[in-house]
Amino acid sequence: MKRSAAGPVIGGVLVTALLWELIGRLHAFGSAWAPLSTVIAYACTPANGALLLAAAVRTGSEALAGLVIGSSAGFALASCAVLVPRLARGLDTFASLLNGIPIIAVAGVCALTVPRDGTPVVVATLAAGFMVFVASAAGLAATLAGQRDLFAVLGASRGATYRRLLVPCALPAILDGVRSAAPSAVVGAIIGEWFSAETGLGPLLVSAMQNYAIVQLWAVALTGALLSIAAYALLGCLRAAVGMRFG
Amino acid sequence: MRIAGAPPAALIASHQLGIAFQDHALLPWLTVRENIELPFHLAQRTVDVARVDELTALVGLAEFAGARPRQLSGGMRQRVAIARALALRPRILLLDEPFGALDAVTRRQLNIELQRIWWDQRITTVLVTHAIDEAVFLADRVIVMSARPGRIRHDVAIELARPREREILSAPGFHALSDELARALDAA
Repeated sequence: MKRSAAGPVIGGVLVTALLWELIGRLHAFGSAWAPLSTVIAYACTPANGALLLAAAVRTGSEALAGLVIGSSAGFALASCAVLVPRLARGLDTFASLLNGIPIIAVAGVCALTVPRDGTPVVVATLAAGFMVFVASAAGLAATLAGQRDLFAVLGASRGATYRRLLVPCALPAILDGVRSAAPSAVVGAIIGEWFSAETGLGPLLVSAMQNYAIVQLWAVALTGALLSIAAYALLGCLRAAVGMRFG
Repeated sequence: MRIAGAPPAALIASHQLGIAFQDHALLPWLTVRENIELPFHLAQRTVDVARVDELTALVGLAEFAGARPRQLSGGMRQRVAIARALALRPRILLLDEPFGALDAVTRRQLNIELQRIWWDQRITTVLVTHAIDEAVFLADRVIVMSARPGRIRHDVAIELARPREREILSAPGFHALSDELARALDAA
């Protein structure tokens, strides 16, 4: 990250942390708002730290699997729309309808229809897939007219045009979509866990709410947020590297 | 329209048409060399390494073979586009205002280079241009077209000796032809 870009990010994090701490200390929003320092102290004890880490690994794995499957499916659907133009409108409508169903309802249905351990991955897949579909469709359509004309005049087949022009052109947009979808995949995995899993951040959240364990609740929420931010930042680095060549 | 008895689509299907536009249309993720190799891949032919080497040298970019388009000047990018158009030894080379976006000095230099490249390759070339001196310097035959509808108004033979050097640009015969074409354009 460049120095000029890092400054505002660090400043934003510090201001957020300070506000969180002050609101908690002053009980500005009641006693259910735990100060950041208390949450960090809770997470830093060996037992709690191990518990949160294990839950984060579990949820992170499910979110990653969902992100990979959802991104692949979203990209494949967008590719079908490009390679078989008569399918484009139907696929667009199908994806929009799927995205229109509230994720919480999708999770409930999944809990009843897919194997128990698979629900978080399926929900994460659906949460991530639409964003990548939209980004891929936009990216695959973003080639310059001159480049398309060139491929047509050089007698390129549809497959060669897709492979050598459309996909490389679309890569930055696709990775933008994957990066934006990563936090959704984490949320999807957590919601999926609520309905079916016994480990992971989802069950920990439910357990904390039911037992009125406020600090634990905040610690789990913070862990989930850090997981999303880490995924977003990592994919941002990948996007920057790809943008250097394909952007 | 038919070319050598066949429709243009047949020429495209057999990969015998080379083209360069005003917008160079280079692929930014490929190097100079890879951009010149592109027509071989699209025609599903083995890359002729010697031909790519020859063209890279012909357009004066041998030292930039590994560079990407963003590292090149506008004139260099157009030279890559012309080398790419020549890669498969096309039967027809179509140049659609290839230097239209360049400044006057670069444009003049590239006209001289294009003439040299054409002299080396001897491929039937159709050049679309709005620049009269460019047409006179490069062409054997200039066809003046009206704007709307696009109709052939004049067909002028350019009988200046080849190869044409920079000095011809200031020769009286060159200016006479330019004036003749300017009048034809005004009337078209």
